[in-house]
Amino acid sequence: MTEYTLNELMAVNVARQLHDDEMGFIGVGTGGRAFTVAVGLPIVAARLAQLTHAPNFTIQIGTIISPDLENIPKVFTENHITTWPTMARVRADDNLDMFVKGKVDVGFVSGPQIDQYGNINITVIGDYKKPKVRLVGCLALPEHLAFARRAFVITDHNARTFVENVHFVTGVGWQANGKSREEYNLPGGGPVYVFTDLGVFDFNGEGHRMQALTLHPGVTPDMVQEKTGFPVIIPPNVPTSILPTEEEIELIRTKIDPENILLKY
Amino acid sequence: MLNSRILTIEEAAAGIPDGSVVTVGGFGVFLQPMAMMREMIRQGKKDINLLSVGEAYAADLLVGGGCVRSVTLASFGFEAVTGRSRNFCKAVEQGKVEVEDYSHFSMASRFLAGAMGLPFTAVHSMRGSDLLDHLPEGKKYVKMDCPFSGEEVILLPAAKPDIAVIQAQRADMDGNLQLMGPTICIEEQARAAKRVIAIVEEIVPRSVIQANPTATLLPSFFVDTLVVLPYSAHPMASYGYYDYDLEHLYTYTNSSKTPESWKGYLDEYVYAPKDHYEYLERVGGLRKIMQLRADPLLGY
Repeated sequence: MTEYTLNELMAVNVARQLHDDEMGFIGVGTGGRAFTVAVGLPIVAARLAQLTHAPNFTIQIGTIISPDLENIPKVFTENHITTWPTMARVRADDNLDMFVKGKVDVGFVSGPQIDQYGNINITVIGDYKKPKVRLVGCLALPEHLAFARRAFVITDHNARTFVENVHFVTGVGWQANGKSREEYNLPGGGPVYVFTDLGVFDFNGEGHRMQALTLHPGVTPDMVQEKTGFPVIIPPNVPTSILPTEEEIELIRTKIDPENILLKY
Repeated sequence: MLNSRILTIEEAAAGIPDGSVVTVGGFGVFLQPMAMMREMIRQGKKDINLLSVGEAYAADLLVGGGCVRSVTLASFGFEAVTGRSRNFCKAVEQGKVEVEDYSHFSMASRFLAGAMGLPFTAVHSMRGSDLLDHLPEGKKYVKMDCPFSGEEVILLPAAKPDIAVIQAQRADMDGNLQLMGPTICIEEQARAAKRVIAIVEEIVPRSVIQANPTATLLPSFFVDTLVVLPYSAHPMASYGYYDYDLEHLYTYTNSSKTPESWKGYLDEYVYAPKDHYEYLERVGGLRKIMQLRADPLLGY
C-alpha cells in the first residue's frame, strides 16, 4: 500500500476534481499552515492534475496568469514569483475582472470561519463595529464565491472554523441571511467542495447544507461531528476518500514539490 | 515639459496636512513607501484617512505610529510572515480607527473610476455579502437597475484621495515615473489622487527612460513631488532593485505583539535614527543591503 502524508492525500483529492482546460485562481497567502492550504496545496493539485488527467489545466496566482508549473519557484518571495516564467502579468483591476467575465473555473479559497451553507468569513470575529478579532478584510473572496464556476474550500477541520453561522458573510455560499444564491443573482457556482484534514464535503445536503462526501481513512463520523459546530450530514456508509496512487505520490515527491516547500506545514 | 519638484523626504512629508485623505500604493511585500511612513510618524501626523487596497505593511506602520483616524480597505494580509497585521487589527478592535471594508475588485474599480475622472463606478461584486449592510445606503452605495439592460448593479463612489504617496523604481529629472514588477493598483491610485508624491530609488538620465518608455506607467504630468531615496521601500521589495527583508519583517511582527515591544520598535527604527541612512545602518547596513539587492545578472 502506498504511504502518503495527510497533505498529499488532500492534494490528490483536490487534483482529482480538476478538469482539463479549466483555469484555477489561487490567491497569495501569508506563511505557515495558511500558506499551505491557500497556496501550496492548490499549486500541487493543479500540477498533479496537469501531469495526470488534465494536461491543459492552468492557474492564475494573484496577478500572474499561466505561470509555468514545470518551474515552480523554490522560494516564494515576491521577486521569485515575479520572475516565475509566466504568460501574463496584469494589474489588479485586470486580474479581478477575470472573475466577473466568467474566466475563472475553479476558485481556491480558505478562511477562519465557514458555516453549513458555505458562507465564509475572513473579515471579523464578533460584532463588525466592535470586533473581538479583526481579520484580514475581504481579499477577492466576494468575487471567488460570486463569480467562479466552482469554488473549492480548503481548510482544516475544527469547531471554531466550522460554525453554525459565520459572524460576517464576506463571501456568499448557498444561502445567506435567509436568501439563496439565486435570489442574490450570483452567476458563479459557489462553494462546491470543502477539502479538510478529515474528509471531502459538498453542499448537496438538504437545503444545500454541508454533507460528507468521503472521509479520510481512519476518520469516523463522530470525529467529524465533534470538530464541526453544526450538525453535519454524514450519510450512512459514507465512502473512504480517494487514496493516492504510487504514481501520484512519486510525482509530488520527485517532480512537483521535491524540496517539500508547498506542503511543508 | 512639466517638472516635478524634487524635495527631501522631510519636506515632502511636511506637505501632507493632518486630516488628509491619503492613498499609499503597493501590495503584499512590494513597493510600499515605508520611509515616508516612518517620516510621517516622526512628524507626528494626525487623523490621516487611508484609502487602501492591500498595502498592509505601510498602513499597519502608520496606524501603529498613531497617525490614522480611518481606514478603507480591501485586505491587509501580512504576506511572507505568519499572522495578522496586529497594529491595524488591534486599533480596530479597540475602536481607535474607523474602518470600511470593500471587496478587492470593488476598491480597484473605485480607484479606476477616480483615475478616469468619473464620479462613481458600477460593480457586481459584494451582492449578498454583509459588506453592504455596514455601509450607509445612498451615501456609500446605491443599488440601481442599469438604464440600458435592466440588470441590477451596485454603484460605488469613485475613490479620489487628496494625496497619493507611491513608491516607484526610478524617474528622470522631469518626474517620468517608471514602475517594474507587480504594480497592482498603484497607477490607478496615483491617477485618482489630486496630488502625487513619488519616492524613487534613483534619478536616471532621460535616455534610460527613452530606452524603455513602456515602463513609464506614470508620465511626469501625474507626478507633483519627487523624493529620491535609495532603499526607501525597506523592508518591502522594489523589483529590479532589492528583495524584501524577511528578517526585519519578523522583527516587526514580533515587536507588534505588546504595546511595550511596539514602543521599542518605534524608538529603535523610527524616532532614534536621525535620517533614512541611519535607519539603514540599524537594520543591517551595507551587509543587509548586499543581501537584499537585486542581482543584475539574474534580474532580481
